[in-house]
Amino acid sequence: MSAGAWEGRDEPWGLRPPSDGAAERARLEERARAPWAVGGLLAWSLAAGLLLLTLGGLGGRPDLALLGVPAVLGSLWGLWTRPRGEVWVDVERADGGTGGSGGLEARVRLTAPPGTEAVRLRVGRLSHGTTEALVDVPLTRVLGVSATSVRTGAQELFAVEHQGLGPGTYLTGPVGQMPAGRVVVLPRGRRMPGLPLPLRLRGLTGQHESRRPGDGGGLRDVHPFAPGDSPRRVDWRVTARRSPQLEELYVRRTVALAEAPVTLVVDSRDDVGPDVSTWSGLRPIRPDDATSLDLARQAAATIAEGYLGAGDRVGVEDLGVRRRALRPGAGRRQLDRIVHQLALLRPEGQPARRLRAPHLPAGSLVYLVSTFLDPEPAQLAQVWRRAGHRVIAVDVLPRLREQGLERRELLALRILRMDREDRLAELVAGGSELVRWAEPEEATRGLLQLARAHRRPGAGVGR
Amino acid sequence: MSPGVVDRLRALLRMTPRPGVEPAVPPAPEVRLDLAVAVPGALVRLVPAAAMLGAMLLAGPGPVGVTFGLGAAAAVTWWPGSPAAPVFLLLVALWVFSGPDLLAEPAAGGAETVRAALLVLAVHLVLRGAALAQHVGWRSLVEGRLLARIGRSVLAVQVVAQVMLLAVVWVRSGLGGPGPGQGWVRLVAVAAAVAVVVLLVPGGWLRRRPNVSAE
Repeated sequence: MSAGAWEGRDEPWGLRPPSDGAAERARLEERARAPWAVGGLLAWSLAAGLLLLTLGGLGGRPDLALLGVPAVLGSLWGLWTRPRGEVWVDVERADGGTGGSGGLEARVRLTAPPGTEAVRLRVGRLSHGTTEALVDVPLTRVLGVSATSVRTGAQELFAVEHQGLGPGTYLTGPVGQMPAGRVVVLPRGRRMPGLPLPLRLRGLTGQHESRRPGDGGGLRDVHPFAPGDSPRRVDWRVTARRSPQLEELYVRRTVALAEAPVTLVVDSRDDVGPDVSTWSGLRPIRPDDATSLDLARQAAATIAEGYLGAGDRVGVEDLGVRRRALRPGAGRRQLDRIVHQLALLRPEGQPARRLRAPHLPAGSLVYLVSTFLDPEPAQLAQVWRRAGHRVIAVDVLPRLREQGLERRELLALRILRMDREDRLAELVAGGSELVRWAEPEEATRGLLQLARAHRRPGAGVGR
Repeated sequence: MSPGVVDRLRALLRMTPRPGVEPAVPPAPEVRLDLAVAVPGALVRLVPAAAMLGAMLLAGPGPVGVTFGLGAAAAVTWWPGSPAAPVFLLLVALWVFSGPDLLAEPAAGGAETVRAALLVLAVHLVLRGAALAQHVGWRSLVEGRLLARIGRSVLAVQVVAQVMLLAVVWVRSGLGGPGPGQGWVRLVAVAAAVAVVVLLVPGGWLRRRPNVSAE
């Protein structure tokens, strides 16, 4: 097979479909024993070389005969050292599954039988295309493979097709294929300098000061001693100043600490990239383009990391699939659960329309992470807002590219944008707050503003 | 050559774009293999054709020969797996045969002997280059380590071939040059060639096989 015939083709190199059990095992054993195939070029070279040797000898022309010597020697050397067996390839992930490093890395382990001159490799991913290379494999070798990608979630690693080449690259071994394994690239959160709090704080533990008197927080007030107050809280200086005769004792009262219940509502129904022409699903999204779901994962992971780091309770709701809800919890393990849950989010068919909004813990701060390309998330936000939750809408639609769009596509996009902007404006008018996540600086600034312009922190707590 | 063709050639050879002609949308990222030194496949595909041109310069064919030679060079570039390279070897042999014996002068050691040695090297490079190029796509990569390994094996064969060439020169100088009464030398050479065929070529190649399709 000539190399030119392979150009631009992604199909396997003539592999047979997998068969079952014993037949497959017998086929593998047969392949392991079979000598490598002799190429047509070797036969032609050997024939031409022998012809020249004979003619040169008969004609008394050693110069003619010598022209055939390299052809004969090279061909015979290839035949003598003909390898048997096949090249084995194993692909394993190299970046430890942390993800977010800007790409995927893997190690390709190659094992070739003795006599192998080279191994022809074709490494590919669906979104990256394929890269072909001829590499030197002295029996065993580990080769690094990497691909730049900003995509997170479940995805395929690298598919590897391989073929051994015998001495002189005249002989070819059996073609093998290592299908791409599935890996989960976890989203990595960003560091947020400040995060807003819900309208009401809950509980008696946490990192946030509530308005309820209790232990752990800062000074609330100085109050006359009352039954139930601990004598250790008596402030003797204030008592001495206000009541020199000790008619009354004064105690320092502190505020209690509380936690913020946060619910991340992630809309996994859409996964659209910045290139509008890929929205139909017919064209693949570039691997260096973060989709709306990538942004949603990153936003949710960032928010979860921020709140869980402060000791708050965070839960996850999925607007696309109801079984993916994660109950509120706190701590490092809850963060791991959330990050893994976020990584597994993906659109699944046509989701059923929700008749009722998901039930959220009372007083929750709701982060609604969505593209808002349809009205359902905005309607749910209004419902939660009316129920007394503080709702922050996180818009994760990427910054769209319009290059190469046709006129009617541009018109459709314009209508869609107007519709979406109206929806977002309605959302804000209904009392929800809006943060756009497509630009990292803008998102950080938006959340920081919301954190500073806090609406009566802890209002209602302890009443 | 138009700028567009230059840019395409630069892309084929995996060179960076010319300053000022970077595309508005950068090309999509590719899968990268960690190869210390890699040569673009396009260069490797051109090696047999370059060796062919070198062999043609050394052999000095006529206009018709040049036409055939260029045709073979084009064929081996586009279809390196085709028999273009062995056919070119026969063409070179024809050109050499139509001229005087390159190793005729026993005391030569001169230009003709060097020419013969270079021709042996060139046709060898054509064959090995074609054998390698048939597995290399235009956009693929060839590892430098592999090229060095192939270069070593080419060198090993060349050492044998060039020693044989020197032996011919030495024997001829000892016998006082080609002339009558040396038929035994040819006989020995033919016998050696037949022995090589019988002993080294796999027996299965020389036996007639039953026609499977006829059964």
